Amino acid sequence: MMTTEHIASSASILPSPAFPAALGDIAHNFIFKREGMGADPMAAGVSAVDSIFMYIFWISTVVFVGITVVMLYWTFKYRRRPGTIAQASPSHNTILELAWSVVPLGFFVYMFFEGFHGYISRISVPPDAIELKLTGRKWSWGVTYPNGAESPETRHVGATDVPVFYVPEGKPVKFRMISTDVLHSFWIPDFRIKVDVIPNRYTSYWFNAEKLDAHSTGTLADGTKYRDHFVFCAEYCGDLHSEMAAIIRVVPEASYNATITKWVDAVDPVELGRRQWVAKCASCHTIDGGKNTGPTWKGIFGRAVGFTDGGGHSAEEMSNPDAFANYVRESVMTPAKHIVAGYTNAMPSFAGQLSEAQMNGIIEYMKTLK
Amino acid sequence: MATIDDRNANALGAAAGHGHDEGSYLTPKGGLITTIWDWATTVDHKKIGVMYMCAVLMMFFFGGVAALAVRTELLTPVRTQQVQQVNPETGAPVVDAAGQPVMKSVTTGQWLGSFLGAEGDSINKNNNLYNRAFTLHGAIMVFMVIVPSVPAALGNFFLPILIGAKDVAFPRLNLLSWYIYVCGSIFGVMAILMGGVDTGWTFYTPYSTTTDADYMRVVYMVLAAFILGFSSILTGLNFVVSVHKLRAPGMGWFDMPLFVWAVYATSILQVLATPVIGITLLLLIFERLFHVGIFDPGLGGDPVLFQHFFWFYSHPVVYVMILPGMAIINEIIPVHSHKKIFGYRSMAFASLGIAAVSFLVWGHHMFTSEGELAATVFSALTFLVAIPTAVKVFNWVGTLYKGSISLTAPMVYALIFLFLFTIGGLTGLPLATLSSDIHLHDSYFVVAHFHYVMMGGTIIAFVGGIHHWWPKMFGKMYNERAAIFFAIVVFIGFNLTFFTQFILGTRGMPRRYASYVDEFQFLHQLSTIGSYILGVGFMGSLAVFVHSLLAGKTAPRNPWGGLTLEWHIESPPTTHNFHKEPIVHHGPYDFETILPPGWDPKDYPVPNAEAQAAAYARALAAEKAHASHH
Repeated sequence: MMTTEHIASSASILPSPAFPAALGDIAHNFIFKREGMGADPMAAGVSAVDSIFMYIFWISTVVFVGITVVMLYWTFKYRRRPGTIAQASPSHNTILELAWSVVPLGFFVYMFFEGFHGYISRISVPPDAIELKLTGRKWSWGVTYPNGAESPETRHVGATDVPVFYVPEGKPVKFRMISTDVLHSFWIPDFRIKVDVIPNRYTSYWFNAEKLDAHSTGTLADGTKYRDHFVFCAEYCGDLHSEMAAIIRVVPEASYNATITKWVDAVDPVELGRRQWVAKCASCHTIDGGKNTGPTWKGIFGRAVGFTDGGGHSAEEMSNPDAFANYVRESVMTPAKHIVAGYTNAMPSFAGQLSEAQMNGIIEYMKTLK
Repeated sequence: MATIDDRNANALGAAAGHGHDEGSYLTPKGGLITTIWDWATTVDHKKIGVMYMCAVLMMFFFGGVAALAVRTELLTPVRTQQVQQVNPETGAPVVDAAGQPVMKSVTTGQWLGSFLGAEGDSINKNNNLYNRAFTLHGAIMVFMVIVPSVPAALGNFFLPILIGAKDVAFPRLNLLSWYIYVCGSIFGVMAILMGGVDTGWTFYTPYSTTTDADYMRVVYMVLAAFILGFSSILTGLNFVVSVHKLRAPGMGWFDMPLFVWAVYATSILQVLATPVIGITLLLLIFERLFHVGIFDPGLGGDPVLFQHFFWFYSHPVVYVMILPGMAIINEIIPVHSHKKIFGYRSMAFASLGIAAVSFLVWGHHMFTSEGELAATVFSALTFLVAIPTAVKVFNWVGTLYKGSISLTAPMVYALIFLFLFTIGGLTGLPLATLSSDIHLHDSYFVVAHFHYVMMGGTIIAFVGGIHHWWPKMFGKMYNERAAIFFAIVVFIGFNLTFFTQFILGTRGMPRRYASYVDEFQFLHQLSTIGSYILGVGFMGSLAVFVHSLLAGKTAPRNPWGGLTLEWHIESPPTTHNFHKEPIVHHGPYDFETILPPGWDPKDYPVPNAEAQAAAYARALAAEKAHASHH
């Protein structure tokens, strides 16, 4: 199903509205639509990208079919017959050659300006956009809401649990983005835009999520409808690059406000720690005993640990709350100092990224993972 | 112009002034050791070309194996799920003290990881191996295959012959560049044997300056690319000087075959652009080894600066890769259509135009990381490259009009090239357009696009070029039906592999992913099946050539009816190519007036055909008499 916005945009680029528009919809759906959550994205700005793409697509199709048909027809028609030579024909035609240089140029100028126009509209952030802080790191995304809340919710995507970020429907939302390590790129395919996330430099990404209407992909516990969109990392960043996903969940504005308020209200250290795990640790550390980039947290309190350099801590030391807390703190702040045997030096330092309360929460949360 | 008289016997070799080196360049000079030594120290451009071809084809094989490994890993996505533990002996579910079922996490879909015994282990090992495999594929295919394929292998062999020269301008330098190529490849292979690198062939910072920090292998891999660059520069330099200084009498600039024009344009790019990547890679090595902050923000550097440096070279090098492909098509289409190429001058200028504009478009690789103004300027400039490229395609198709087209194996490859390259070129348009590029950038759409250009363009043209010149290079024909059959297998496999990737890209599949969400699995499976078909096609083509070497019929001098100088000389050529300096009397594509040397005038009734055939027969007889005299 297409929105009225879409029908208008595809009709305007096609010569005869009725039949080709239907054909245009079929091609458009085939090219962009994914089954399930990606179907029919309607965020503002999407139609600008899709319409120029489909415009180029149809021109290219006509040119390509033309070239192929002519090529095959001439290859057959002028096939070699012994006893004959090529017929005399001009090997140069200034007017023709000028025409096939200048005519494409005209199309290219149009493509350039349409693309430029769409691009500027996609990167100029409206002044009333809600600003969320986004951090990219190997290999997870973290979002901090204006009230300081962080998402505690995850969804299992592929091989890992990825965080779910709530955004309000029909409102401009801006991410101010930074990377703590290497280059990443923030891409929501359904919104048709990506922007690189760079260390030591802020970049921004904004979108205006669609109105939900009838296009929800699920309902919350309280019956509120929502719609999920995938986030992918599009700039190669190492081992779990392909697992560096997240979910953007579009919900009604009231539900958005209630949710982020609920998130920030929870002060229980264990819950706070669990949220840190969701946002920063889950991509590498499991809590169910499964193997991943780093050691599992299941049963870590009281479990002996050995390092690659031969050192380590006994089970007794690890059950001492103070020694355990110091071990965890050191591992989080200076992870390269000791590497647990059987693992590699893959963890970035989180120094400066965790408050004391959050650090404490992680330690308390770990103790509950028996 | 356009008459043949007995003086053309020069090209055939009558009345040569010397008695040595009259035999084929392939004739062994003695025993095995002597022959190997002879090849290893040769300054003959033909032997160097053949050595390049062997090296490039070997690297193509390794790069292809890596590609198949990548595709096989992508046959199934990596998944973890919780399953109930089961007692392996009784098959009964395991329960804990409280009677609750004990769950465990199970990972599936790790094909590469299973070789490391990582089945059920963390997915890092598996994905890391995948990252090393795609880096290997990219680095080998770009630096060791596509860049040297046409210029260094076929260019070395044919550029001097096409301009009527005995050799390139600096034969020893030519041998040196082959050894530099081998040396660079050895560094690359060393990095692979030491565990490989996971930087991607683009070496983006700061990932490349921090990954595998305890190991030297990244430095070796970067060093390999650095060294290979010198080989490229020296080859380019050699060709530029050869084209300027060694053209045969009678060959003005616009009498040169278009192959020479395009390789000339390529050489200029190689000489001007490669030093930039040399310095950039050197800076990268400095940063890794001595922690000089240039690109790593942790040391006060700028990671985007690396992208500017890298693409300032690597964009022109895209044309170093595609122009020689176009060069080959420039020869195949007129020769096998027996017709003058359409728009000779616009073809020549298009090559130079592409080379010039290619220096101004590097920023289009960075629309998502650079500023708005830069992105806008680079988008506009990028569309300019499309014009000369479109002109070339139109000219090639125009050449077919009213031709006399033999559907030979090389011609089939040329038609495949036109088909695939047109798709590759057209899909560049939404990437040049800013608003659609920010969606498609770094997605499978880009992967598909550059494979259509680099592989559907350059590699197909290279393989087509080998088919075109194989009889000349080795003096043997091959089984044409089998060659055409495998060309069609390659065509089908190629489209199945890469067309699916366009749709994956528009639907949101990012590149360099070891796994993917469920929505993408069907298209990934199709693509993987296509890659296997593609592999079969190339191995089949290889078998055709091996069969030709072992049991092929002796090739005539001019099997396809070409008019350029290589078709006047023996198959395979003698050591000095021509027995006496050739004099050029007609244009390279005057198929409507000149009888192809050695062809029957009844089959090819150009005006004055009988007289031309008689002149050719006299020249040939003189050459034979001369040979028997010795």
